[in-house]
Amino acid sequence: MMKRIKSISTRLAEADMVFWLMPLLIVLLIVGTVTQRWIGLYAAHHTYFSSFIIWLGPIPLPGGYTILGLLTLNLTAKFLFKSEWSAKKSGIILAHLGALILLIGGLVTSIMAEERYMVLPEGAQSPFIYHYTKRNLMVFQSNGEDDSQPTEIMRLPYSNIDNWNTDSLPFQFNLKFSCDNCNIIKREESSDYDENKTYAGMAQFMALENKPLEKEPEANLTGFEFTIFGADEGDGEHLAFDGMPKPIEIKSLGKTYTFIFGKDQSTLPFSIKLKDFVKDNYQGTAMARGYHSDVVIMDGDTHWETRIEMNKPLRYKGHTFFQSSFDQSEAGEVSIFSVVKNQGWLFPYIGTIVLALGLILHIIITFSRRRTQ
Amino acid sequence: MIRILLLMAIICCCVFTHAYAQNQAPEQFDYSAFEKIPVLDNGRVKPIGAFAKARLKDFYGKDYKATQWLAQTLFNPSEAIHAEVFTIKDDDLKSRLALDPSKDHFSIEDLQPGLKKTQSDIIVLLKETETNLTPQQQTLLKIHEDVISYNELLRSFSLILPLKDGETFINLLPKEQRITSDLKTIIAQKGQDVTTYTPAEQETAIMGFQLQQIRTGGIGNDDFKAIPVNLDEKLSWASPWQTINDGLGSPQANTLLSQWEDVANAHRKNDAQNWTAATHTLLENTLQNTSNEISKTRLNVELLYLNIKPYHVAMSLYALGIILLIITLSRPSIFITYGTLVSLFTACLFHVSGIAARIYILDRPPVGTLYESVLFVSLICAVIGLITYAKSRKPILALTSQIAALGLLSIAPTMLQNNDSLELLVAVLNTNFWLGTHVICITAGYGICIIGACLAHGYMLLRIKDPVHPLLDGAFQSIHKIGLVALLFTAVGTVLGGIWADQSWGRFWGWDPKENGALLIVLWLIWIQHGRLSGNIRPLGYVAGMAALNIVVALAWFGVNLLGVGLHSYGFTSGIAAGLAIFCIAETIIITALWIIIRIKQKQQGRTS
Repeated sequence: MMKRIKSISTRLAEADMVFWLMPLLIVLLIVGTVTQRWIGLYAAHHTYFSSFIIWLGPIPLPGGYTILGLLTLNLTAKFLFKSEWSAKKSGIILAHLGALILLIGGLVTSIMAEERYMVLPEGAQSPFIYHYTKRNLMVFQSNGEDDSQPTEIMRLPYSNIDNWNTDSLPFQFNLKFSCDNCNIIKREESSDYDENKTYAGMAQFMALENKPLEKEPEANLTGFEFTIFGADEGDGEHLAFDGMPKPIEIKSLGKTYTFIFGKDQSTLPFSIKLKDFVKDNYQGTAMARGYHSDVVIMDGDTHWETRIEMNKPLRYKGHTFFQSSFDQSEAGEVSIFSVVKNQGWLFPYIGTIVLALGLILHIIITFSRRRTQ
Repeated sequence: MIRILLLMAIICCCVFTHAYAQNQAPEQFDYSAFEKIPVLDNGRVKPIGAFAKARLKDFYGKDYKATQWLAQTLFNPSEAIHAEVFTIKDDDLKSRLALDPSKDHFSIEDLQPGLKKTQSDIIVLLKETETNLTPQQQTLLKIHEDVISYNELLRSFSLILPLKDGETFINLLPKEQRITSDLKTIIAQKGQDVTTYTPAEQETAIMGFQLQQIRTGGIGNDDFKAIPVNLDEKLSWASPWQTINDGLGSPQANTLLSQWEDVANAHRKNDAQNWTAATHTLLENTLQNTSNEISKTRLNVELLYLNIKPYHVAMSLYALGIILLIITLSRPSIFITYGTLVSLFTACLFHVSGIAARIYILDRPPVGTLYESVLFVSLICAVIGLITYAKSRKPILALTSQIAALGLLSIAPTMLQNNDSLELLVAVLNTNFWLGTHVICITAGYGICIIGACLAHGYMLLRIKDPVHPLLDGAFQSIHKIGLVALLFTAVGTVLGGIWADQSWGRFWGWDPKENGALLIVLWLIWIQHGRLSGNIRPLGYVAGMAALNIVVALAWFGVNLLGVGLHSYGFTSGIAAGLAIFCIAETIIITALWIIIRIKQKQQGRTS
């Protein structure tokens, strides 16, 4: 058995594994890059690079995960079973180790990294960050009095909309229709408009219809229509969509149920206040030389000021904040940060150093050997 | 031999005389101080000479005698409207604008009637995206934009140019209100018919009309920002009209305007002596008003860079070096070797000086735009070729490298996005650390790949000519070494790019086209190296693989920019797709043909032996 494992491992460690895998990766890279022009980065990423199998009609082809996984195996096997541990080969060994660290870093990142964003108007403070693509319906309950704090009683992910369980609500919630990317039209123009029905809230004026998906999923306007029945107040046809300006309120048995639909929200263990956002233009032009946000980190009783700017992110408690966008309007300036939590962020730094050292060493050894010869 | 050396000397003389002649063309006026006066244009303070060259190139396509043209435009607008500075070559467009079909260059006066007729079309065209426009529509739009821009230039100094009796708008400004109110009274009393006015009333009417015309022309006239103003202790720049219309005036600005008036008057009166004195005073005072924030040396270096055209000189010398290297291949000689070294060294000197001047002017590392990357990669090829030749005196690597350097330098201008090659960078690129590490590393990697690829071409050609040529073995070893160094630079450059992306966008790798392009080169190099190691690729296949690096680099460097998607939007280009496709197809055919010929020859030799 051990012999068999060793023979497989030795085979896996051969240089020709790279020779056979590399053309597949090259083709995948070219196809996955060129198709981005038509299907966008997100779709290409998921179809070609973050997949195990790509189906070309009925024919299965290896996806990015499969090829990179095999290359990782090959490098690990070479490292363990094949590498000749000598000074002569030290450069090669280090270079391969660097590549292995980069691949493992890629694996850790793809499994564990989480990317969200934070929107902060000038002067505002918030601990909330939002997912770029995941959307949820959140239901809050309050006892109907003005000063009562609403409690979140339900968080239903849009990705599972067909299986939403709303049985615990004291009224009926019937999903009618959903659209991953919706077009908003006038209520009277909708195909199922029935003047005998009761339309409530925004559904009185507007209706949703399906439209083709955008290239980048965060640009989709996701929404759904539903019916509420059996409540004390709020029965009728409703609709909800991404970033809806007003939550839906239903009253039943003396309690108020608030429905909010939008990007998945999570809470940081600290909050950030935006003091000032600055877009610094080149003189006499509208072209930006740089952007920065002066913020205050508020963690318990500790407060301190810092700056987040292009190419200079803020790292704190496992989260990294990047100046990713902004909005300037009459209402004021809004800074938008990308917030990334990635346990594997150090791998590329270490991998690069090891890889560079290895290649430099190998080149020195090769050049000096040939000179000696 | 003497004949060859004579030929070399003549070519060198031609090159230098050409560069010198461009700077020393005899002129009535001395423009040396005028062309150094700083102006703010496209976010950067530059000498007037540079401003003039960029604008004239926009309109005319060439920048010959640009400073003289600008002086004429600013100070003698009534004559400048006859200058034929707009280039239109499209016959259909000429007929649409009712222009003389036998001419390619037209004045603003020629264009105005035709452009008026196409105004309604322009409103429609402006709503279209650029990609949906035909080339003719694009030219029509550009002509309209150019004419607006030219009109603005013509009126830049209308406030200090003399009206009737030598009066200027700025001098009449205190009386403007009175003239306007007098004119209103005259119109109220006698109506609009000027013939009923007394001579004095006619005078007032003409003056009032002129003032109104000049003021209207000055609204929004902010293109020529030549007046430094200090706002909240921060240096800012204003156009002459902005000092009046936008309240940016000050005693210092007024002094400068009156000095501009002296310069204008000297030019209009053809007074060369006063012109020289006035331009020198204006230059010194403008610099003083910038609180010495603007370096005179930097302005001088920029002018020198634009006037000498170092890359043109370098290209001529590279071409000379290539000819000499070809001669060396068949008839080696110590004189030709020294001639080659001198020629290549001088070429590299001009090339390096050009790039060093850019670093000094822009105050950033040498590579920030696609154009700069081509200049830099070309230099890498030339320098490596020169060093190896100086050390080994083997011509093949030097020859292929210089051909690559010359080829790249000649395509560099096609990468320019506008007529000012000294471009500013978008915010994400505005970091000297990453431009100095990742960008330099990856572009050096491109250069080394190209050297390897060109040497591989040379190797294959030489092998066809003589399969046992003594240079072959050394060339193969060099290809292998270059392959390894190329892998080092491209791999490290690519991961450094990932780290930059991690710093600015929050992710190390996002499968963005530009990132994938860089990775493609690395994968290709890894593939051929491992193929050679495992025995799956034979030496000839390995050389062909190295030769094909040219295609891989071209796709990664320029091809991915054509996709127009991804986060590297600052690198998007257009208009090079056809050239790139031709290059890739031609290279594929050449490499395949060379490989087949060598294989056939090998088989024939096998049979013979």
